[in-house]
Amino acid sequence: MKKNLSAWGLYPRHLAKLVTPSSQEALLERFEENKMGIARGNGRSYGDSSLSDVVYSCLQLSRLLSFDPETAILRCESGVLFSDIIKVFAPRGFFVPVTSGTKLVTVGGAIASDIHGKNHHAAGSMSSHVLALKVLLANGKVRELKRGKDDKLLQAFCGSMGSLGIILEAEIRLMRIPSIWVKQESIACPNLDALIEVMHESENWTHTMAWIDLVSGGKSLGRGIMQRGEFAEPEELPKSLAKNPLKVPEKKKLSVPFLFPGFALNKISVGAFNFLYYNKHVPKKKQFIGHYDSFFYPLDAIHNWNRIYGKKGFTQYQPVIPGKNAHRVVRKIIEKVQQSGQASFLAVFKRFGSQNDIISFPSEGYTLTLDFQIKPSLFPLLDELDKLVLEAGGRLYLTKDVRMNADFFKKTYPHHKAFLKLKKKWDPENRFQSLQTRRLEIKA
Amino acid sequence: MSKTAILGVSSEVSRAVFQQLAAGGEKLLLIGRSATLLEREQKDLKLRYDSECLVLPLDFPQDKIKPALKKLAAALEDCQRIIVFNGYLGDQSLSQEDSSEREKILWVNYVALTHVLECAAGIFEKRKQGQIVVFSSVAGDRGRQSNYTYGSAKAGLSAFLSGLRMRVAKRGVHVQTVKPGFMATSMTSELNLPPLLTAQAEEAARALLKAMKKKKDVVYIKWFWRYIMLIIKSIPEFVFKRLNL
Repeated sequence: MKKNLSAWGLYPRHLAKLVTPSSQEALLERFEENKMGIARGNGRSYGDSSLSDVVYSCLQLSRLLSFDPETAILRCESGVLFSDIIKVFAPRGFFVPVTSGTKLVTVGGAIASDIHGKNHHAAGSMSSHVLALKVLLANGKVRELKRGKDDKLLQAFCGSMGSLGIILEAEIRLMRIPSIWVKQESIACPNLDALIEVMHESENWTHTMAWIDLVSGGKSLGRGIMQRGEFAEPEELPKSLAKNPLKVPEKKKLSVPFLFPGFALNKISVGAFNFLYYNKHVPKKKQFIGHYDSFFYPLDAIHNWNRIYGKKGFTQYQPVIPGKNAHRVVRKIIEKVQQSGQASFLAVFKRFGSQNDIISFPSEGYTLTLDFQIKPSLFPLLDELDKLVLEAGGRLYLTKDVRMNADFFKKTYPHHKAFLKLKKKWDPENRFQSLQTRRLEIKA
Repeated sequence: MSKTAILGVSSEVSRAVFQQLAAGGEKLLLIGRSATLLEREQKDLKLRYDSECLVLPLDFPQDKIKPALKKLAAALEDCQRIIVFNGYLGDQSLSQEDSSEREKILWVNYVALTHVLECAAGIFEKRKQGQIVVFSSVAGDRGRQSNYTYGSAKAGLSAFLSGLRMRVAKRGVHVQTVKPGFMATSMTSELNLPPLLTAQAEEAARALLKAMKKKKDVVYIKWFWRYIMLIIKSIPEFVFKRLNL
């Protein structure tokens, strides 16, 4: 029986055969039967990366296999959630080395997306922390890829969006933390230039990002709140916490119980939200210590926040803009979005460190994430934004993408030819395919 | 500290149950077909809960049932409780044509379990204590065209359990019949189940642990399935046979 499947953006929906094998062995059998399809983790990519005619959910491959506290190396199955790793290992002084804005992603999904986090400038992307992968290849065989031995193929799996095979197990190096508390500073910046300046000054902080208020224009265009953080040393904590710095307090969750009507999100409501968010941080600089959840995962506190965009769904447009003129391009993008009147609920802004991998998204420059409700008028706007991104030598994050065309992909991912060569070698019959790989012509 | 044997480890509900038991400090003996899978679960439980867990790779094939039961009996010597998850949904239409599929469904869901249950009951009865918890199914409450081979095996199992419960209750052993309705598991991931009627594995596990503590005799998961099945059972046969269930 087929299921109407979508990912986090609720757009598009695709009638798919969803198989959820309970073990690696069962997954191999199901792949042998179906011979094609794409792997899926927790469905937190936004668009069509995890949609295909046959979808292999890895959620039941969720066993932790080994951990060495000396080296901080964890081996686990690919369907283990970051939230599980944190739950088990934070109280022992370890954290995921790189994290997306949600901890409800699987290890396999994080690697296939080569996710980045607030510490990209300091720690690189997920792939920098992957030491080995056990993968199912198109020929039905299982292979162990090791750092230092199979670097080329291993690196290509990172960011491949599942197009080379299915990750069964991974070995990753966790990050040591002195406490579960994050020492934070929030700095309200009146415009984009000020924000960029503060972001540069913040380079020696391990975790940095900014929220941008997309509604303000003119002199206040690009005003925002810079956030920077560092896991706190026990001596930096108040006495009540310092006694047991790795003890995690319990919390409850809010939930968005139903799909909001689409009109709930208009310019006024988004403006009001951003105003509140901005003014929460006046006076200008605020220092505090907070739980890792509130620093890294503020949106996880609201279950199913993706539903607030209504049943037509939403997408996130995330370019990276390199070079000295990046701030001018970012400004143009914001202006274009404002002129269009298409409200963007969240704008996240962050500076990446340098990276130049075969198919990974991050590269030195600024990245901006803009949320848009899906409607017909959105697509021409995004095409316009594409032109700015292309001109600036930037590119779009495949994990968020749902609509870029193959030509744009090939022009903006400089090593795509080398990647397609690997695709041809390891999957000559294009068994691993998603709606996205078809759209972007990622095929042998 | 008590020790629980888990028979059948590959379903989500089984995993959710033994994980919650391990989290509560319960000692475990995991019994299943695949040694590889058992070893993975053992490692996972050790890392997550620092749990002391033993494993026993064991299958109950028709032609080698006696030696298998011997091994099971030895392993149950120091267990106070056994929870049985073994089940095989099979393919209804295949089971209509193919006698080996039909026999497999009846064997795994019914015949093999009667042997396992007599083995466990015998051991617990001698000790005058113990608990036997078995996953049957609402499918056994009334045969339907969509899965009556499986349903009939579960009906047999439920009847067996009610008789066994009566016999061993007098000697301090508690037998619990669990009847899950729809559950979101690997077995059902390809079906479109109505979300409100469908229990998530962790939710089902929580309900089960609670019912085990209270020593309930027959447990429906979710609770309203008891009433859904009451209604389904009360439909007169001449109407029922025209339905499309």
